[in-house]
Amino acid sequence: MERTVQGGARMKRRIWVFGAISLGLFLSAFLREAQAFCIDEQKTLRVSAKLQTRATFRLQDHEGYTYARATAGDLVQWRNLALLEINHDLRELTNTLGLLWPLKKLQIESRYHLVGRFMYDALYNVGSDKFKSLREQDPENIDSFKQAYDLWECYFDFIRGPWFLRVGRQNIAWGETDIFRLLDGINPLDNTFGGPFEDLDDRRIPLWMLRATRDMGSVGPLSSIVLEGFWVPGPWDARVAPFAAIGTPYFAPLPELFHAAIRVNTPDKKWANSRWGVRLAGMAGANLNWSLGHYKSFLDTPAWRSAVDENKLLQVGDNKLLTSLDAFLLEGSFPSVQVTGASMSYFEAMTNVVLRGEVAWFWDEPVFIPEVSLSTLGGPTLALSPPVLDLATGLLGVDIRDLGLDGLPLNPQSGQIPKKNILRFMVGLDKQLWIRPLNKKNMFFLSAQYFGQWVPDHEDGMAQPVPIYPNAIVFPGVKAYENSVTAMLSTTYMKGNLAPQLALAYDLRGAWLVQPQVGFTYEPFRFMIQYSAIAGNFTNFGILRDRDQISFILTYLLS
Amino acid sequence: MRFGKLLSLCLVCLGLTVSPGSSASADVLAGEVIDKTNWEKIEGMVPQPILNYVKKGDLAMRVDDLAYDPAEFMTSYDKEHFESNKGKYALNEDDLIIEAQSGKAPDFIEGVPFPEIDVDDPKAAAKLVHNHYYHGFTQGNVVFPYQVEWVGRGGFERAVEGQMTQFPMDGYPPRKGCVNKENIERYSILQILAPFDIAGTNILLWRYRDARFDSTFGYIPAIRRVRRMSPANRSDAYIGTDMCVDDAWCFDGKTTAFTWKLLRKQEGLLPYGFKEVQPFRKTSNACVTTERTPCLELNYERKDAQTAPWFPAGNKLVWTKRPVYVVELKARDPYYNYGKQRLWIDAGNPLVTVFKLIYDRADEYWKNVWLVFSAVATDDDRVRILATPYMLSIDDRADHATLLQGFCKKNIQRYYDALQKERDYSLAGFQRLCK
Repeated sequence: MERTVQGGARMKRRIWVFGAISLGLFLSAFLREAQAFCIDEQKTLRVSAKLQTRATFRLQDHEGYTYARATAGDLVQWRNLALLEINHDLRELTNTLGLLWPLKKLQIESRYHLVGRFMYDALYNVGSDKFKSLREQDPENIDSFKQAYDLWECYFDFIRGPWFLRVGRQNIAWGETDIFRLLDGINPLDNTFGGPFEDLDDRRIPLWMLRATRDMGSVGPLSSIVLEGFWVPGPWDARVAPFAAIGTPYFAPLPELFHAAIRVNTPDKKWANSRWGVRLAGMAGANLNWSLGHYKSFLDTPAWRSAVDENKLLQVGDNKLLTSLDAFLLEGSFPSVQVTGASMSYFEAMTNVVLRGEVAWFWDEPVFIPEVSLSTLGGPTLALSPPVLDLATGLLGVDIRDLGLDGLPLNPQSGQIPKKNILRFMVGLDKQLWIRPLNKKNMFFLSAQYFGQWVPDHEDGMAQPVPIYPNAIVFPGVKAYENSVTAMLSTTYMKGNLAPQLALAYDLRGAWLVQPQVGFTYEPFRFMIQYSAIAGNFTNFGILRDRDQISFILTYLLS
Repeated sequence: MRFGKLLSLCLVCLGLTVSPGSSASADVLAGEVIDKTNWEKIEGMVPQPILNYVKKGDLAMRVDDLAYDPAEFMTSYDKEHFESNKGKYALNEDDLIIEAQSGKAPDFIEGVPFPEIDVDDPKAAAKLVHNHYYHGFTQGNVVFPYQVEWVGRGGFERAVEGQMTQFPMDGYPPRKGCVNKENIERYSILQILAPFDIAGTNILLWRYRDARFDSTFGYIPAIRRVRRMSPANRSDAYIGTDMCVDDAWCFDGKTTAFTWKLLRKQEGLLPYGFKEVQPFRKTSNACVTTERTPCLELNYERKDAQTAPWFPAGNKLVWTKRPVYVVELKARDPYYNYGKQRLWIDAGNPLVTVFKLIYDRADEYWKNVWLVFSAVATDDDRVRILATPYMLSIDDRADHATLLQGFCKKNIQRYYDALQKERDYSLAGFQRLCK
């Protein structure tokens, strides 16, 4: 985690919080119904806001290497959120405000959008001792981790004829997939506060970017053609998915002996770390939407390798010995990845189904092959007898035999990050249907997807970088073909005030995710209860199978 | 003999009291208030469910004459092509509009296609509905902001703020000659503006002039993407309200997706928003309703309301005698959530649909929809149309209503809006609206 607290930042944060609360109270005094608050009669400037609190309780004890030693009943999240949104259409003002004369002269329509986000997770103040003590041990990191005050989204739109330009901090989503991302991997995800249990959009991190589209119209049999491009200049924004702080509830299940060695290196803000992409989309006939795209971005999980600090090795003659764990690092980095792909959706009239498909080729994606990535542990050693190893365990506090070592690594080398081309694809369908015995008044929405993954030059050693308890150097394999399916079913009752939903995911190697939820509206409040459970084998999302939880979410809409 | 005369007199009196609607219209006078004490006067003149509201005390009606003739508030484009369109068009077996002489689909229709309706024409009902749409097209590009309100017996429950925009490609004469490769009849966008949790949900509709299904695209903020949607859910409740998508403007389905029958023409009693013409203003790029346009205050906003909370307060609606067509329609789709439906269309201005009765799939009565109009005119009287202050759907089984507030100070409707462009309704244009 790279965010640090600067001097004076606390005061700044207090001002922000005070300002937000004041604005919220000011707005709520004027609002009777669920309308955005409009500053002007033409409703060109709209202000809206929401407050949300989310309390999550773990429903099972930790197992294996899960370091956040939560037990059933523990509070694992008390996340409080305030969002303030401002939308201003400047078309009317362009005609009257002299400052906007250039826009008027150039016949450019414009508007802007701002979202201020204030987040505070009170778990480390009121949770169990195991989480309070985390803060005591590492106050700077945890204080930075548990709160955020951001100009979350901030962009200007400029429109002239077929051209559209959006400049500022924004999200962009391509492709046709839900839940898992293929062509939709441009913005990073924050998985530190709930991982796969959280809505995808709640996890997206907006980036400062330039985005442009040009409406190309029709060409031959193709219509509604749009050429789109985006660019996130590296010096503006090179942020990647944050890595959960050690010991926090959604930290990856890594053995404790690795913790001290973890170093996550995030990309520097430089031109070489720019994200960019281009996409062509359109329609063929009335029922088929298609798109082709290519982009460069960063994956959401770091690429891991062992790294050796040469300066901390013990020189013995011509050789170097690794005698201290300080010299051993588990280094996570974010090499960029380029993705090429296509997507489609097709409305099939006879069955009233929308079919969706997507295929994406990930070029040189970093993968994890223990023999290569953790080669530090696989090289020659200075063998030690068992009694000496026992003594070393007492001195180091770590039994190096757990790392598969029978002695001290001799001339240890850092691991490498192997890369593979990977093909991923999705086929899905959406259907609205009546299930009258369950709901006479409203339809159900069913969405189902099949995801496939193929590694053309697969190696047997490919694995997920999360060891299988109790062996710190045995990892769940990744096969040449991997498959999973998802499904989601939802409907509404009580005039839309009651909204149940069931989401399922199944990895064909034996991991299940089940997430039923029910939402209730009592204006201006929204209540939601969400149960999330993962069961089955320790593979894919199954590595979080000891994190079953139930969440209670209360939202107050100020507008 | 005397007994016989007495018997005859009794029978006549009996006949007068039991024959439905026999002298009802003659008894209803301008200025009268019809309520539960005298509902018999209007029996047969309003749909039965509405009569039931009056009987029950849920509704009182102020009968009056309008200060204007609704027939005078057809758009100038309606009137301009009224004569020239007589007999020009017909309907084919699919109820699509064709040129009467050639049998081909017309390139462009100016004004309403069927200015004259023959009640004996088996296609009369479908023609009336085509007129209902094309009349709307002659109002040009429309921006219609609204609030949708859930109202129960306890009063106001919740609301959603939205905006509908429409861009016709047919029927609106200034659009003649525009390239229309995709054979679009109209484009429309439905936006939800509030509350926060669903704000930004937008639906784009492309309706075609031929038999093709609508193309529908939705932007869902939670997934940040424009998504292709099935047009099959038009009979599903709209965001949990008592209306479905096809209930908009009383009827917004695709004409070819239904079968049609004209049941009868009769005298009816129809609600209009205000007795007087309301102000309309011409700006540099549209004609707009104004801040001076009064809002219809609703019963739930008043503590002393005597009638159902979802009706306008103080008998503000003007109920006026109008000739009415009653049309029956039924969906061809076996999965459509409604059975038969009946429209009451103002025959004096046959471009205005005022009531819809909705029956379930077993053809038992379920709910009704109202569309209340009000005349608006610019100061110079050069632009005169019927605008929509109020729309209502009452679910009689749930004893619950959804109403849509049209024009008032907070909702300025725009007609003939020159700021809109066709490009706004392309996929690229739609994506620009999205967060």
